[in-house]
Amino acid sequence: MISAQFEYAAPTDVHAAAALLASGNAQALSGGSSLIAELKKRRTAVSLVVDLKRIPTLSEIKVQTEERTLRIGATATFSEIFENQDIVKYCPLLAQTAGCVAYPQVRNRKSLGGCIAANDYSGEIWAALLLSGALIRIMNAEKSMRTVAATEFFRRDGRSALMKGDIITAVDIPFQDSQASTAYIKQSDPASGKTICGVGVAATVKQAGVIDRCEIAVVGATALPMRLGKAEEKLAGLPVNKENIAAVWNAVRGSLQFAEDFSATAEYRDHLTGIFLQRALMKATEENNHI
Amino acid sequence: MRIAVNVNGSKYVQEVEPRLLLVDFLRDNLGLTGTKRGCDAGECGVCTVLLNGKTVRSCSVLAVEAHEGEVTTIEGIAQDGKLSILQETFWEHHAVQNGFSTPGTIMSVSELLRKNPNPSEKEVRRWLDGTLSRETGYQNIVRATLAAAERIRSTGDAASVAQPSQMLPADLIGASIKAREAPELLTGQAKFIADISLPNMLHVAILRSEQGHAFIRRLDVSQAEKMPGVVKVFTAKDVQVMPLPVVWVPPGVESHFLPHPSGMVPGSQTVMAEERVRYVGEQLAAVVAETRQQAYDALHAIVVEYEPLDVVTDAEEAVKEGAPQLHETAPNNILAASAFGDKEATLKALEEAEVVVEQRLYNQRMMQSPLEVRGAVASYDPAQEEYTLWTNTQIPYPHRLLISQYILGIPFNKLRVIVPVMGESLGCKGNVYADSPLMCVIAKALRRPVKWVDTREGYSRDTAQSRDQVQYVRIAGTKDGKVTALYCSAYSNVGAYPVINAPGQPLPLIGRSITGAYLIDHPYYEVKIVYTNKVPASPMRGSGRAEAIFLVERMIDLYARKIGMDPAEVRRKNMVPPERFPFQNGLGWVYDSGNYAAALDKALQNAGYDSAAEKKVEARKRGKLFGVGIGSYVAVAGVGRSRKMGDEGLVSGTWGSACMSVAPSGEVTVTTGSQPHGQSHETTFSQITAQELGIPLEYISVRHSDSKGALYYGQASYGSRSLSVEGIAIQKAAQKIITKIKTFAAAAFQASEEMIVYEKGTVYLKTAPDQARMTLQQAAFALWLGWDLPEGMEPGLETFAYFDPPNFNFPFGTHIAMVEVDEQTGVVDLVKYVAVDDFGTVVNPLVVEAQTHGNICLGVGQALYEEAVYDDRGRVLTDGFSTYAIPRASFLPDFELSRTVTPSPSNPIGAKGAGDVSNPPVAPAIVNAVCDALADSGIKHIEMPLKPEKIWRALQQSRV
Repeated sequence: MISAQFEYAAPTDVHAAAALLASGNAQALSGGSSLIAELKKRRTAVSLVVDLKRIPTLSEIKVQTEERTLRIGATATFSEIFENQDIVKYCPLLAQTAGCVAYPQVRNRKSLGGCIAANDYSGEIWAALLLSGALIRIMNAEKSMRTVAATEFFRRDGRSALMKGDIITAVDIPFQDSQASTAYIKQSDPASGKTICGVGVAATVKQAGVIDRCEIAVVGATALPMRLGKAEEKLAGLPVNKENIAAVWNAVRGSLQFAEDFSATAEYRDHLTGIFLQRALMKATEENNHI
Repeated sequence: MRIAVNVNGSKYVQEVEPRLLLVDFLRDNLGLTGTKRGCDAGECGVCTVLLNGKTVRSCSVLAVEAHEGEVTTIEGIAQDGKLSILQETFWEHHAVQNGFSTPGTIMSVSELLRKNPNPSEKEVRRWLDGTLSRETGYQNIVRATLAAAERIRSTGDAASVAQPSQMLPADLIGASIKAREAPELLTGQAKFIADISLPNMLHVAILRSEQGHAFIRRLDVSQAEKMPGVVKVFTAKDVQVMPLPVVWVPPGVESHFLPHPSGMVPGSQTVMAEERVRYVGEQLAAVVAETRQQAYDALHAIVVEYEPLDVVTDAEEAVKEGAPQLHETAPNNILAASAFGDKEATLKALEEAEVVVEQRLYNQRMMQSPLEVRGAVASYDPAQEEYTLWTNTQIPYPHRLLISQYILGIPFNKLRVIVPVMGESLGCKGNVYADSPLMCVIAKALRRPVKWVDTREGYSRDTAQSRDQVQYVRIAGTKDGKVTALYCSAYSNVGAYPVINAPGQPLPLIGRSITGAYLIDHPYYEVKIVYTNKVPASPMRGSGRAEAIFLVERMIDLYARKIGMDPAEVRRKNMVPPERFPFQNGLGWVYDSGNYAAALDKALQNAGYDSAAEKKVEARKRGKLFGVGIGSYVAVAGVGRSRKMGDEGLVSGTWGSACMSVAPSGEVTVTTGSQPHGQSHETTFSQITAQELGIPLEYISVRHSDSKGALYYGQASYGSRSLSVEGIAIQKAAQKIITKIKTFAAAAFQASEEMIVYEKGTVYLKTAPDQARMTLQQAAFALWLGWDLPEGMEPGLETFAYFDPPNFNFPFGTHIAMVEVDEQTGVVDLVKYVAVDDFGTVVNPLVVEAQTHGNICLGVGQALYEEAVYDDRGRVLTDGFSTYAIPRASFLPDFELSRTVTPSPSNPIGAKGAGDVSNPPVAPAIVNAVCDALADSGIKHIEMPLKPEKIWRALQQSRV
């Protein structure tokens, strides 16, 4: 039951939505799982809910062959992403992570754009966004478009790149590098299903078992989802083994801020991140896990 | 705004508020109550429906979002009265017990099977993670889903299996008859408390204390009373009734209850808090409004000012000098202190022992967490001055007695209690709560029916919780494995007020049970039952025996490790041998029958216990620590012999009762004194009746759940008693029916009664079986119409029967858990679970097996995930399923069950209790397994729940 009263609008084009969202306490509804939970708890004062799901252009999933990217509409649900054959083909990591978010009933509602906008950053989907070089397409209240890289979406203070009146319209995801092997390791809270710590890696390995380059994304463990840029730099050129990974991890961990909450302490998350980094890199490289 | 939604093929056009949730639209606006509300927070999945062909949680979707969409609910699944394949297989595999979560579960897996017609067991479990099941567990749901997939693949047709009702009556005891209650649960037709709606009904929302301990300085409801739709706001001044009673007063024990004006029993909390609150959740005000939404909206307009007092939530702290005092009548917050066993002899045995092991154990506070929360509907008939109360309680007859006599102060006959179809309880619905009498008061004051149904968050604060006992334990024995003494000094935290039977759990149920399956010469148990600013505590599935068995099973393992002996061997060496029955356990129980070592050996064999060492080596290679743990148990059940229970302090007998009527047309109606909430009483009690009378099951109906039924008073279901006590009363009733028929037949055939035989629903003369015979129906017809009865014979064919067992019964068994611990993260993976139980004679194996799944599921929850967490102001932080972790399907392996059968001498069927008794061995088996896995690190014990971070920390410390 929701105690607060609000108005509801379901525009069919994005410009109308932008105009509505520019007014007062308007909030966009795409998947709805986050907003509706907030409304029930009376944590959000909302005068108008703008439902984006009736805007056809926002749910399209398109292959942009020339740019070698996929354009995924903001209201595409995780189920749609998981089942879309183009995404499975060109961005398998995204499809796979979308398929293991929460539970089936949630995946049928939760949308990519909604998840990004709601700062729902503990989910594994962020690992895929950060590793894939995703670009988030945003339209502002004046109807002008801009793109923000997933890696730049959160500022250091925890706020996102979104401004009042902004609508995420789509996410552009470059085709996955077929040379890179990926792996994702996570531990979740048994009650909420939220990720306590998730580490995703994409790595390319030279013949001699030496890391050529790697990308590392951490979700759930740190206050915000992030790439471990320093660790990526240090690992490049090193032979893949547990000692090297541990040494690099020990060199970078001190600069990270770990989250602490009901599910786990910061100390435990710090520890898990190191373990999962090792496991993910070993898994990706050992199995030469091209996906 | 106006919406048009197609639901189950019918188009509905309605004006709705944008904030209306889809679940409320379906239930309240369309009356489609098959879709349930479980948590209202998108966490439990019981409200799952299909929206445009995809499953959604209807509590997390606005009704306006479904505009121009298609919704399918459980009511739309069965076609033309024919069950779908999934519904059929759920029925066949007994995947439905209380049935509250069944509709959402069926909707959820229907989408899985459409997407993946050939799922693996693992895929089914992963999918089911989105749908919680509490008392049923998941095993039969998984089986039913796989079976449905296979049937759809092979036939694409909902071929139903043959009805087992054609079976010969001789087969009925021990037959896995499909639950007769299931069809209405599978189709969403069953009406639970939240589904009850009366004409002209008002809705109630209850304001509860936000403070754990405080004086109330101001309570201003004036703004709330002006809110739209609000009829009145009730506070303490409007509710002048007696406080809740307590009906368990241990004799000869110094106890400090609260006063009660009846002078007959002690008291507990008042229905409405007036000056002071002692836990977060006490009732302060009740808003009554035209709609549920309006009632809840107005709650926010009530102003309360508190003057906070110091809070104490820890039982050991509460008894210390200087602790905040909760009740003037209870110095040092002690409700009662008592002991069982010979303290001096036990201390002496400890002193003289070769080996003594000591350990502090904490059996954490748990929340029963049924998916169905509590609710109450009340109406008042001024012409008859009679109240009717609908509520989901395990104890309708005691409800009627206690609320009429001790709370409202009205005649017994002026209150009728009806229990709708009821979701699971796990013990928390076996109490009398302040909200039920409150609804009666409001219904009378306003002369309109009123309804209150709790929320999930409310549940965590207004419904009794359980366990919560600290135990200081010492076990003593010889170096070669003979246990000589067991000493326990305990603190039980019962929260701010006693529930109706508060002393029952910490005193006899734990105290007399701590010897478990063993012959221990010197057992001793003492306990302080302590008030704190927590929610009151009540029994929970496994009640009392769970705390006792955890204690003894952990101590046996610690002792075995200390002397370097195999814990299985220590158990075998100390178990009560078969020739010692009946066996006095030294603390007040007389064990009835058993072969405990045989069940142990069978479990060891089924689990492959001998290969544990190899498994450790193999797991080590994968970076995993393998551990195996045993939980053996004996659990008092079949409550019970009335005199014995009276001696324990229960202000009530515990006999079973039944009324049996044979209609002129031959159908048999049985009214039981028990109260089902998922145990399939209608099925098992029909089996007993059909067996005795030799007639088909279809002729029999079982009634319950209404205090205005055939029984004037009765007991209830708790403590694994229904079949072995109430079921026996039914058997006796059938025998009385047969006796009367035989007397009648003897007169009709002009023969002596010894010459009359009753067999397979027919009575005949031994010497002329073909000529002189009549059926049960013919006899009933003649007896009811009764114009030419033999001289002195009363007309009619119905009878009452009672059964008060000479002793409890004592089911037993051994469970074995195998785990792998990730030494780097502390994550525990339960890889294998084997159970061998002995429930004596089992009437319906399908039912009992499913109950065992539920017991194991709950025990896994206690061992690994569940705990009610409080902050230092007494607020429950685990107030929903995103913070209180009950096991989900993929957390669990397929449990491997088997049984031994040792009939109980306590009743003529030989049945032993089964409903909750197999819970106690689960948590110790798992904790023993984890401690076995960690033994090489020198870790002896970790408190439940064994969360990964806790294990990781213990491993860290062991390395220092």
